[in-house]
Amino acid sequence: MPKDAFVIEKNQFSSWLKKLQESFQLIGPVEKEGHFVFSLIEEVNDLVMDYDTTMLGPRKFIFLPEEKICTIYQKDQGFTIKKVQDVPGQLLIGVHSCDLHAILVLDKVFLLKSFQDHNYRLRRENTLIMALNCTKVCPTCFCSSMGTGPFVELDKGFDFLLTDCGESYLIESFSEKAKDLLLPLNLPQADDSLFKKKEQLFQELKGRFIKNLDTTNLVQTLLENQDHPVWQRTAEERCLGCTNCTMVCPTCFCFNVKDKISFDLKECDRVRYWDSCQELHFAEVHGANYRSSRKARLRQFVTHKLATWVEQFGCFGCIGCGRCMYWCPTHIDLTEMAKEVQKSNFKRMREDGYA
Amino acid sequence: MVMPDTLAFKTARIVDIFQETAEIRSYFLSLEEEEDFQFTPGQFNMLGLPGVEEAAISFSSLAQPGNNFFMHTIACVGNVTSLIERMEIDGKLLIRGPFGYGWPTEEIVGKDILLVAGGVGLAPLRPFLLYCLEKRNQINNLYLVYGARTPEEMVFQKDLMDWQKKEEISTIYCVDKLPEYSSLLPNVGLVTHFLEDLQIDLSRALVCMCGPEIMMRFVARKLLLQGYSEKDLYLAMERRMRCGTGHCGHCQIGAKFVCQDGPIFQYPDIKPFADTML
Ligand SMILES: Cc1cc2nc3c(=O)[nH]c(=O)nc-3n(C[C@H](O)[C@H](O)[C@H](O)COP(=O)(O)OP(=O)(O)OC[C@H]3O[C@@H](n4cnc5c(N)ncnc54)[C@H](O)[C@@H]3O)c2cc1C
Ligand code: SF4
Ligand code: SF4
Repeated sequence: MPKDAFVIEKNQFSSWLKKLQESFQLIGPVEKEGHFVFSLIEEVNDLVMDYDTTMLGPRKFIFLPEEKICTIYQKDQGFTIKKVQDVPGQLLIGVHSCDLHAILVLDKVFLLKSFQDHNYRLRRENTLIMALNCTKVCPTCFCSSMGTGPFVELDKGFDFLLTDCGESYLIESFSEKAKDLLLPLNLPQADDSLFKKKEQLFQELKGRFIKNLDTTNLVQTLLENQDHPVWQRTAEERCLGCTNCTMVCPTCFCFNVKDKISFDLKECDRVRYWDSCQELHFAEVHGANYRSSRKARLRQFVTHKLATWVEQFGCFGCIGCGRCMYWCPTHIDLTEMAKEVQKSNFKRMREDGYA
Repeated sequence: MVMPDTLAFKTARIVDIFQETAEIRSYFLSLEEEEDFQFTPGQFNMLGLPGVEEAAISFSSLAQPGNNFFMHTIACVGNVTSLIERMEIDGKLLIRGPFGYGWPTEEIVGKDILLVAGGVGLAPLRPFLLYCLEKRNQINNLYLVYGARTPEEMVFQKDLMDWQKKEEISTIYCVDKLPEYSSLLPNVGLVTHFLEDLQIDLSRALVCMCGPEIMMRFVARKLLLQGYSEKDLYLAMERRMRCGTGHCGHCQIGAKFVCQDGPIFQYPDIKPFADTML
């Protein structure tokens, strides 16, 4: 039984959040036009903690849809650069296990390779994460297949973990900052029975998944089948090239850069915004477009998430949240495409003399 | 280990400009704040100006120990490059770099080296060629096969003439169309026609190529048919780049980020992935 585990009544939880609101921007799930979204919380009572899934993951508060990278001042033929310096401290509340994994994936992209992204680092350092064990299986989610949920089984990279126990939450802390914030509350320690209940909930939930994906040899299978007919067929028959899949994906990191110049030409904001490999011009250079076909672009999305990501970052780029297929206007499902490749592995069949 | 930040801008001043062809100019630059600027052949900078963002441009000169000069050779094709084309001596550019992995400078000892370039693709190869000339006594044979559409579209004409006269390097220049007059006396035909009959021992061959991807496709295939081994071929890949630091995602080829894992690749590392012309 972990030491830093307590019980907090839901009423007390709400009043604690109201207190925290004095020092942090609170971000959490709220209901909006029949869907749930992560949003800045003005009223703690607006939080909907028993949500199933949100339209966008919490990435939009760490890697913003559009943000200034720096301002460039031009004078006397020289340049002065002002980087973004001040970002608000924020607390992300109610982050499901899949979305927590997505943030840790983005950490690998922006912080743990050869260069650290300035803006991402700044926001990430000023973000506390309060994860929440999921209680709802959606028809489109498959986190249990990707090893990213439905319960959080990590012990670092976030601050708090909540488990809903009816009238109260089991709250566990996983960082020094979290411990400090819990200390003044003087909460009762959680006992063994609560952990037994948590384990029971977890096991029961695991058995309820509708969607699954077998990831055994998946990387190799997909890379060996880049000319599989499923890419062409799905792209031609169903993909509209709308970019929804990559916009709602909580691990997509691609961005474009745009300069915005002041009227007197002395000041220039360099801005970046989410970009998508599904967009026609994404891989265009002078004289060539390396993914001019929808087939190539759709294959890029699926093989990036489920195959090439592993060589790049040592994990899958898909955390099994199911958002891409839910928000795709024609409900293109990457697990179905992967399964079709697994079923008719042309490379293998050719080698075995069947095709 | 503290990792470098993505926004390490430097200012460079244009010291001299040289018109290479109608659309290509070379810029001699020096860094404003730093005395010493080191980079390896094949690496690149992100060159930028407020209002037009940035473009990836390779070094076309060899770094000199203890000084801060470098050269870029730029074809005017879009926003950044056409703004730079309108700049004059003493104009200032914002740069970030050097980025990427360059040519295999560690691999040259005892090799028969073949450099194949097309058009402005000679620019990223030039520092490696100069490096090979510096280390000439460590190398066995050294060849340059350089093609352009017309002699007027050939860059570094003065170098080309120098190299043509040198014993240290054997050169073959070729063009698509035969001109009435050219001091370089180029052959007529594609670079792929001039890859046979070279004195290259396949067991110690090292090939470095840079040019349009379609050219590299045919050069690589031809050489493989001639018995060269895949691992001895190195290619310079070009993709759209918005950051240079492995984050914006534009330059991805399969699992590779051209900006960080390249732009120079060993053929077997890049060939398996989709969406190239190789
Ligand atoms: C590693 C590396 C090294 C390079 N070295 C050199 C070099 O030494 N010399 C050299 O001349 N070039 C070099 N290049 C090529 C150079 O980076 C490109 O030509 C670059 O696009 C020029 O930038 P620009 O802003 O002038 O052109 P852009 O304004 O970016 O336009 C270039 C082309 O990109 C396409 N394009 C423009 N805007 C968009 C858009 N919004 N969406 C989609 N496509 C668009 C268009 O087809 C256009 O023709 C190198 C590239 C790489 C990756
Ligand atoms: S390449 Fe496409 S799928 Fe991969 S991170 Fe970028 S937008 Fe997402
Ligand atoms: S959301 Fe669906 S239709 Fe839109 S680009 Fe993605 S796969 Fe294609």
